[in-house]
Amino acid sequence: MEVFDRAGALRAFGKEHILRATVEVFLSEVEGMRQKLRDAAQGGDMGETAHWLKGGFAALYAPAARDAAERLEAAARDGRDTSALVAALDGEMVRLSEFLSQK
Amino acid sequence: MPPLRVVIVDDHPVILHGLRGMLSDLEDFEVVGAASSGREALEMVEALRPDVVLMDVRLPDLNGLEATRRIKESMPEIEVVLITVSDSELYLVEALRWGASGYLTKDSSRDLIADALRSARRGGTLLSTTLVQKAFGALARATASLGSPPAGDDNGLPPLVELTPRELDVLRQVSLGRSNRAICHELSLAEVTVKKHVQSILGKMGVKDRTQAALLGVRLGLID
Repeated sequence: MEVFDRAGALRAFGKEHILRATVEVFLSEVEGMRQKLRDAAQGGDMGETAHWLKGGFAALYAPAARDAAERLEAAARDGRDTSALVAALDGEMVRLSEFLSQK
Repeated sequence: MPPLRVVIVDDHPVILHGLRGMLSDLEDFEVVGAASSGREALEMVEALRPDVVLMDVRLPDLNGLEATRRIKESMPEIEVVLITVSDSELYLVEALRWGASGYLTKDSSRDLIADALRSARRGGTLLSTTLVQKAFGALARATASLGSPPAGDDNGLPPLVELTPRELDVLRQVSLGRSNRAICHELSLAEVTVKKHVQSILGKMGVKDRTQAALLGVRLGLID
């Protein structure tokens, strides 16, 4: 799945400079987002955290991370084991961060 | 016409920044405030009296639906457009019931969001087509899952679903999109108890998932 849908994001944000500024916010916030995920894995509300992350990735047009967050949210909601999905989402966040940092 | 004064409310910094950037760049918009929780939004709206509030549905301390209800109750001249993740069609009916003038997904384009806000100021309502389709689809599935009515029950009335008071409490929480863990905190129940209640609710209602249960609960008048 695509890490970042640049064309979709550009259509949504309207202008390159707005998209770029939003990406910069993501890059400055991503470590905090990863920490929030780790905190949830240590006994926080995983469903809420995954939903929160999913919203951000949807708005940023990051389909792979959004999908990983969605699967994690569903597993948390159903009471299934989430450890592998937490690792997968964390990996997607790193991948997205690295991808966007190169652009 | 003076610029449309907007307050944006979202607890996600990327979304908040993105929306602010999108709207600030448009000549007919003035972003007068940005809040990251429901209570902060209420205080900001009260103080700044914007034309329109663009608000996330799920927020810390006070969700966007309840914040919308309170805004419309005390400041009916202020319009509210709600914005949500694309699978949260569940709240659409409730959003409209509390007076929201729009309901959009978070991946909506700047043009669509701007149109929704302009429409709200004119007294119109703009809804995400995707969310409306999903809401009707979920309602149709919930209806279909009821199956054929019992013999002799051909009066077209909805089926009789009897839930215990505690099950109704849980169903209300489910309708707010809360996880089992969040529900157990909210109702001071063990998570395993919440799971049992959810399974019992699904069984009694004859539905397959929580979304169907919530929609059917609203349809049958079991919950608001």
